[in-house]
Amino acid sequence: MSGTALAPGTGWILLAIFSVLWIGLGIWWGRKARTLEGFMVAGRDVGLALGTATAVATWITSNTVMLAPQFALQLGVWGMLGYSSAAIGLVLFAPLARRIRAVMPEGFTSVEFVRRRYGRAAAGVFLLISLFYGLTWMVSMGIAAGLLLESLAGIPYLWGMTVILTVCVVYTLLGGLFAVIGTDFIQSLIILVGLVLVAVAVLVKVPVAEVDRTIVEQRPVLVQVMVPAAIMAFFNNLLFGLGEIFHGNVWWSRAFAMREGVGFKAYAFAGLLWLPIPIVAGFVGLAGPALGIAIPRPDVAGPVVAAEVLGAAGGVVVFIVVFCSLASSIDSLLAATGDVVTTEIVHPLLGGGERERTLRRAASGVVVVVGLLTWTACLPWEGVLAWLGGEDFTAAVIADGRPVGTLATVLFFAGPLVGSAIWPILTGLHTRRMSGGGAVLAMVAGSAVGLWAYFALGWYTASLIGTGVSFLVTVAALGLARWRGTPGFDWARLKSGELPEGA
Amino acid sequence: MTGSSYLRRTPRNRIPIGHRTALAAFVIALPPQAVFVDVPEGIDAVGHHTLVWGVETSGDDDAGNADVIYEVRRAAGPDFADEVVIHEGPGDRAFFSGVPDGTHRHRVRARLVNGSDDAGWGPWSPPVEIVVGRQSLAFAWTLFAIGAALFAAIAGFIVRNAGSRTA
Repeated sequence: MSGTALAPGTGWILLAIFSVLWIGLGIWWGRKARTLEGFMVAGRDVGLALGTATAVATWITSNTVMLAPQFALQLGVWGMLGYSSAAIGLVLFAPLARRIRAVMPEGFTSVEFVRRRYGRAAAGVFLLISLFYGLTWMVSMGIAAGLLLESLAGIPYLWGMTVILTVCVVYTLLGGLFAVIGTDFIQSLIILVGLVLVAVAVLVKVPVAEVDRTIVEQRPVLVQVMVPAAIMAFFNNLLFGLGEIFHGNVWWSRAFAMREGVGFKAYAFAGLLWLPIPIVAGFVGLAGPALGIAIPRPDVAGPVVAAEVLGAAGGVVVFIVVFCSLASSIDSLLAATGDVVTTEIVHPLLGGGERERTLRRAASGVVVVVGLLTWTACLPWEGVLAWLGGEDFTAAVIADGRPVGTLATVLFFAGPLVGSAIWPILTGLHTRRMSGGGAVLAMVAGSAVGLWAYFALGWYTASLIGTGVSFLVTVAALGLARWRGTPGFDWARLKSGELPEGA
Repeated sequence: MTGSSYLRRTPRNRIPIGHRTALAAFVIALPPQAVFVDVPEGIDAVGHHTLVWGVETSGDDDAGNADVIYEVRRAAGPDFADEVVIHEGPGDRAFFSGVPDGTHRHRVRARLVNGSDDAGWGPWSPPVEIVVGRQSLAFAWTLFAIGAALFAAIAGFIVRNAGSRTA
């Protein structure tokens, strides 16, 4: 591939250095992850600094490095601000994290909460949503990894995606949540320093006034207020962010892992730290037209512009930031999804009551399986099918293969599902009267109508409509429960730390 | 139709540029003919899309197009009287956004920049049209208002229960 910021050789060397570093740290932290509680919730002893860093690092991902510039380039100033509003999700989760730690001091996963609070039917629906979302996010990350390494260093999509996924699987497997949180701390520092460097370099090369002039001249709609898709996308994005965080075991597992009294502060600080980052990343994307850079796909706008502005040496910075951003999210998802599968599927299948050592081994196996599933979904299937049809492997899969669709379209497909879980989670944590049946109906109806909106109206409406329908069902269910005088839920039932028994 | 519909891969049967030596001889006789190889179909409801272009040659070997620069222009009128340059340089595709509503015509031309073999700009490609027609603003603001109300309800619920000690 010609015209990349880095020579493929340099890219491979950087890839090798950071792969060895993360795996080495995984082995180091793995010493602490021998018990199930150590592996899944880092011994429930994470302090404020690590807690804040892991929340920031996990939320800085392709979402910020790739999607924020994409939003800015597609939807203009509205898109940039809308993306930044995802920080509100972290801030609003702060009181929820405190509540979660208080009602389930020995909990492991968000699905476990739903099972204890609403029963098996609701847990089943919630599990499907969680797994679908977790895999979608991981697949979008794997796709991002492949695309970024290809656009930055000419490393073929398939190899870049495979190496990053493999490295994340290996160190998560070895170190569990200890390794995930520990590497997140280092990765968040690297990401923040790198983003500041890139933003300053872009500002030096092209003044804000020049960016504004070019946008007004060539892409006038990006600075207009009355843009239908952008107006619709604003709250859609905000609600999607809330849904992602409120339902996601990535965030719940950290709430369980943080020391008592830490969760509230850690999530509030993380939200405030994260808030300006999408604006910086979005500006980098908007600077592309002013610099005369042709953006091949909107979801690689940020890295392509940054690498172009910084040149070869700066390409190294971008490469490292990108690697850290992707790894910090993929590892969190692997750990969180693995925990859910281990506690809610594998453990009951084993008949329940298994010894901790068996479950600890099962948790490791689940991480590998989840990683393999993600890798399979990230394959450039059009190329794979051509290869299966007899075409040359290199031509069909490696050189020519890329996934279809952009990150936004892949990721936002899960939007209505997670949006529909917001109200069942909130009412489950704070009200006694919300019933399991109401929670199921809210999630199913919200998901179904939201997915309809995704296809009928556009991805920028689906989360909003899914959340809205779920809200209406929740209000109706609470009203019905009050009218019928349904007895309230006993909070003590959440306190037990037992895992589910076999069917 | 969503934005993703516009992002298609370059077709496998895209006409490849010939290898350099064959191309040099070809170019001396005739500057390269540029063509659009992938353009969005239907009405663009979001005002952003990717265009893919290339050059026609008689060569059958693909040596890449690092030596080719392109100029892509967009105009509202069919006579291109009001055209503006929207891309100039190497690269066979670009993502365009912030395009106003209406019918937009595009054309592309190519030039080989290979030292003394520079034969100047080739002819313009046949024009292609993209129609941008966004959704209704009334509908968009309605959804915005619903979103604002939902967010207010969520934030209000969390704040009201933030001090809850029931457990």
